[in-house]
Amino acid sequence: MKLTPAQKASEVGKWAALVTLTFLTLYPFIFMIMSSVKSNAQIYTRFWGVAAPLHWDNYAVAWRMISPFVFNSVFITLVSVLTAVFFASLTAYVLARFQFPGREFFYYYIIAIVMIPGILTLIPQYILIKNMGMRDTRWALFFPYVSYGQVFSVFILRTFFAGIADDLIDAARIDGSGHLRIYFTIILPLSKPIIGTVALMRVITIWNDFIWPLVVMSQKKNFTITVGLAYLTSEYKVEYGQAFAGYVIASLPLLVLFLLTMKTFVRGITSGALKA
Amino acid sequence: MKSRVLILSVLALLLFGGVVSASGPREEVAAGPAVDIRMVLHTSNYEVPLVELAEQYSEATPGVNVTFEVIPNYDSTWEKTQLSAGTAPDIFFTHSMVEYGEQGLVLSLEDALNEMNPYTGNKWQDDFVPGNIERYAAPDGTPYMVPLDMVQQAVYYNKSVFDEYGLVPPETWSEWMEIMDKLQAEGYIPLSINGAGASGSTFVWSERVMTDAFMADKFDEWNVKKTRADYPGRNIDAPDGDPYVDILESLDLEEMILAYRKGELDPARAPEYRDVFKFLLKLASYGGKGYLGLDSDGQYEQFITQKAIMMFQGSSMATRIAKDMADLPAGSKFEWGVFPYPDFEKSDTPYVDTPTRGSGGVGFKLALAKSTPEREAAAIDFLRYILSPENASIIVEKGEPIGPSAIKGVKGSAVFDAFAQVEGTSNWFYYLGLDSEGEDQYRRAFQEFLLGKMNLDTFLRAYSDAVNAAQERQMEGIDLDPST
Amino acid sequence: MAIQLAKDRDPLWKKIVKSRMLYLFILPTIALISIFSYYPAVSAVYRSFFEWDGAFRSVFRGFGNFKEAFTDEVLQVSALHLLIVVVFHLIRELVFPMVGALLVFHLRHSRAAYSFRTLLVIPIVVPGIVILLIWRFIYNPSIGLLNQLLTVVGLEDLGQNWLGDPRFSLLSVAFIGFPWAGGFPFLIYLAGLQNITVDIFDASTVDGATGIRRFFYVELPLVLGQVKLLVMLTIITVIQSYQNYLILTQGGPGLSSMVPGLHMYYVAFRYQRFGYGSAIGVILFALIFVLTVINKKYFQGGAESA
Repeated sequence: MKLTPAQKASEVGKWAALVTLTFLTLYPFIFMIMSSVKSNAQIYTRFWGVAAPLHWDNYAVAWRMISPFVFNSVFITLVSVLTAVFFASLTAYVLARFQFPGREFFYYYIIAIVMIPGILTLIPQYILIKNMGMRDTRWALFFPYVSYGQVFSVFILRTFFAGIADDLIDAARIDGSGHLRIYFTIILPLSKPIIGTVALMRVITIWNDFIWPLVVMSQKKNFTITVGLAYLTSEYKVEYGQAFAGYVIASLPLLVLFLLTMKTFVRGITSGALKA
Repeated sequence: MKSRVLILSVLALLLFGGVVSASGPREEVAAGPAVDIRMVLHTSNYEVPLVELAEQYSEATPGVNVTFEVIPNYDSTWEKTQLSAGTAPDIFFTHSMVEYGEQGLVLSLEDALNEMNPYTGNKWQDDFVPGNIERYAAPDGTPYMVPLDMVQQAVYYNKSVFDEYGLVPPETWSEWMEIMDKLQAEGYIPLSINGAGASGSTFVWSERVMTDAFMADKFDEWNVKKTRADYPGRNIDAPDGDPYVDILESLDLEEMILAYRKGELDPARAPEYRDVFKFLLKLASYGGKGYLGLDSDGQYEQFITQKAIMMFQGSSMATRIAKDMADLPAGSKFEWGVFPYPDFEKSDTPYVDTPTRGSGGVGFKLALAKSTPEREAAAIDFLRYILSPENASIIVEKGEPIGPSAIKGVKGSAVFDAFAQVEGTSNWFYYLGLDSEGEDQYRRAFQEFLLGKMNLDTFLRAYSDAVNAAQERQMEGIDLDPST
Repeated sequence: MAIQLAKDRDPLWKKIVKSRMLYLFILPTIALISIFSYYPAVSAVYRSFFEWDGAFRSVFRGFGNFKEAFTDEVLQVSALHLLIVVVFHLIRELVFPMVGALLVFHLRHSRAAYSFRTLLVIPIVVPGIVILLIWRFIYNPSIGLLNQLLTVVGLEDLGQNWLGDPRFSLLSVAFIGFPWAGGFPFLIYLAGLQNITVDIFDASTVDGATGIRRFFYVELPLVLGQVKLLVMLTIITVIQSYQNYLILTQGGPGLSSMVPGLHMYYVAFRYQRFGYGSAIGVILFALIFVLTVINKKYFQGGAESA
């Protein structure tokens, strides 16, 4: 397709603007990677380029320091998200496709949580966890995450489940399938993308959470990656190169996950999951 | 159909339970009555050697298992909660060992220190650099802690730049101000100030050093617990000239409140405070842009990149400077040294009573929580083990020391030698009894004052009000009777 | 078609009994949120009337906490800061991602558009704490990226202690994430734009609308749903967020970067005054609630979304 000179100019302009925006957006991360192989002295003196020797040992040191945090985060996130999505999908299924006394009530009971901001519940939730004796344990993270993760998930999933064509279900009923069977063989496979999206959003939220793990954990070995990184760089002496290496390592799990599921994720968002 | 649902649900629950419980803390099945000892510090300076020593000791000692861990930045609230719940670590670092000791929460080490240390063959007390234990003992003399190391503060300076302009370390305040003016005229930041550093702040230590020098004449009067009068070393000079050691004339909360009520320790009424803060304001004028928000790392960076020429910091910085200096390219290296905080003269302020003393003391103070006799005995034995000269040297070598070891005969890093010039140790009225809330109020008012938004009188009043409110909050159990 | 396990003509109790399996399935969810969301919320409101140290001491104060909040100088300053920060965030979340989305959307070269979109979305997967800590380094007064940049272009004197100077601390934290063109808002706007059907575009081009006119008269109205959503979300999020300030400035120097959420955090966890802290939480909750209601009533008329 031939472009007019005006259109060509406009296209070039857009390109230039996008390149600039993208560069500005990504430069901090590029800088982080470049600095992760420097020693403090190199950062003080050779700021802009990369200087020899490259301190790859920063990564070894960083890994040693943050690997417990990474494992904690991975474990908590995995278990919490799987549990949350499992319970949420069951609940959403029942609320979407069954009629029973209290159906509407329970749905609104769940959705209304959206109105309760985290800032209101932080303090009493902390006291509750403390009184239950769960302070400084993984349970303290697990229960609130699973609990709060239900809300958004149930909301999205119920809409989706309700929208599944009846004929599919009816056909299976006629064949004599029980409700649970239908759930596993028809509903779940159909909802893989949406469940994936919901799970991914939960993963991002939980992985990034800072205040709650900070408040609830006091021993270093229980820190999640967010609290751990903040702690490492608030100590009296900071090795910047090692810190940057730590940031790089901490970014990898989500980056990998994202690359693997990107198509699903973007499709999920743009498919109107956020329409309501 | 229904039974299948049931079975499936039960299986799911079991699976779920299995997965989740696998994450929980595994219960150690102890063979026989093993004693578990926990040692906790709030920073990781000595983590590497202490973990090692704990393992070695556990292996060598049947029936005792020692673990060391770092619980970062815990504060006195955490300590109190743990102690009253009975879940405190057996050995831990604290500032408040006297308070806890008098409440019966931590062990008195008087007997233990008089006994022989099986690992050295000496009376345990004699293993330590003299004076440290007495210095932090309770007013009646009972020791509630043993020291791990010692720290001192001094003014670091860039000797290369000093030489370039023909400057020498100052001995008096006015000389120091002259040097600052000269450096400022040449475009440098004379003094790197960490206005945001919580405890290690230039201003906090300066205030301590100054109030000590200006109010020394009143110490005897304020320190009403006469039993300390029997104590050796109440003078300024350290017993054997060791700069890190001096007997501290500390006031307890009750004595502080009394002195405050008399008006002599009240920032709003005591005239010495006016001069202290006039000097602090002067000092602030030599900090760089935005010094109020600079923390200790930022302060260090200004110094090491030679944007600033001096900084008032603790001995722990010396290790850091030495390490970075070795790494810097030739063009960025510089010579450095330390000098003691300059003295004030009568021409500066009429209230000065003594030369300025140092502001250091013991670094890590180790207290032992009260628990069962077996655990207490094991904890004491473990401490004797790691504080024997051989193991104390390992701690210094493999850790990141913040100053010399508190154990006699341990040869530490040479970087700390320069601090030998600092004489004596100043008293510290521990924030006049401020708690967290009071501290925040004081700090905010102080920053307004430094920014010129609050004048001196208003600030001193605000400081006084914060102190008063904080003391009121902590009045429980204090009877304000001078004789008790 | 919803399945019913009971019959229409069954009395209520019978319906409940016949549906008991269903209740079992929703039980975990209901139980969890009751214990960990509803109970704390109710507890917060209850405790806000007490002076409470979180453990033993609890003294009834009536509306005392709320009276104190209204005369609390720190809270007053924080409220002002909150206003500034909310306005700042609204501008940055509404303008810049929209510009980014428009640029990508209107790029003719579709492979390039796809690449740009992917690149601009990368910040979503970088943990928030990492972004924060990178920016803390950028703002470092002696060796940070920003001041070094200024030195390189000869503007060394403009260098500041960005996070540590009372004049700049509040906005420096709000500034993090520059140029704010990527991330979630960008994706949402892009999705909205892509939902506009081709017919509408063709029709508008025939009418002679291009560029800026086209944006204001065609595109913007059709993505208004997304915009409104983002406005509401931004406001609610900003009112509650304080972790950036907690990590970077601790509200200082002085009170120059104090925000209400941070004050609540300090009051509770540093001064151990959980009752007063709950009261502040309740006030913030009320604020959010009121804003949400206003939004629903006055701004959600008409089509909910594109």
